[in-house]
Amino acid sequence: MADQATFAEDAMPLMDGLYSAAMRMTRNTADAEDLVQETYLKAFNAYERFEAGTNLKAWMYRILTNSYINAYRKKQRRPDESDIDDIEDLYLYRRLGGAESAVLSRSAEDELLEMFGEDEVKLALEDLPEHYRIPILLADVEGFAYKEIAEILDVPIGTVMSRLHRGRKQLQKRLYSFAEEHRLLPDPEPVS
Amino acid sequence: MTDPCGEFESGDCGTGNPCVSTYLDNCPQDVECQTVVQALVAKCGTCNDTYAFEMRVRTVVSRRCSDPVPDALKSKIFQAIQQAQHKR
Repeated sequence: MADQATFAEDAMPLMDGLYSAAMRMTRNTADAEDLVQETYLKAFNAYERFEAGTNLKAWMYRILTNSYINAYRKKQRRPDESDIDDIEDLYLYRRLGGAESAVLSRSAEDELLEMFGEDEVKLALEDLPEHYRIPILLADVEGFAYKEIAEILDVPIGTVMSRLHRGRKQLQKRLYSFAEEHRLLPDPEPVS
Repeated sequence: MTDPCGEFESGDCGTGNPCVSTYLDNCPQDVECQTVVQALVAKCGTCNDTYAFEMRVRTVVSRRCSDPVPDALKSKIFQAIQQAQHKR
């Protein structure tokens, strides 16, 4: 059992990640701030039931995610979810770095990836349907493994894998579209 | 770690195996696990390239998606926790 007296010391260092996740979930500052505050107060009240020495970060993200789902999700617009099945695996790699396309050298790939600024990446992620966005956030931004994500979201590991796979394809397609729109590619004709 | 896909055993697949993503996800913060995965993926030149590329994309996504917590929010939450502790 964890000691409530140490909650602030234990949990405050996690706030940057939780706030970033809340921003991507709610897509606005006011709701993100409310969500993080609610998460911390719920976690504090439940801290005596948290088993000391287990995964505090995953526990906090579970509270954050559940709070978001219960309180904020209804307000959110539903992003476009069409055509995911038409997007091939390793979408960006096959267009930018893949052996098939050989469009860009390694350094040019890096340059292009660096051109994806904060706004573009955040928009691309925020535009994903929620059931793809949250697993990607937990995996790629927060570094959780499949098993942890499954526990946070209370879904089977297979579901996590499938959502990550499909969500990443859509995310990569959106990033590639941005590069096309902004004429960042050396050849404006996309490789099919 | 074993190779559940069975596709990193020989030569160069030439297209990049989608299973690379699975390997990437299995041990995001575990250096020992990543070393094993890299050795496994290195059996195929294209998969090795794919692995490196996917890693770089994820790094960019991760770096671009962090928002610093406003100081006012930090203080507000810290004070709320302290108040809750005093009430107990």
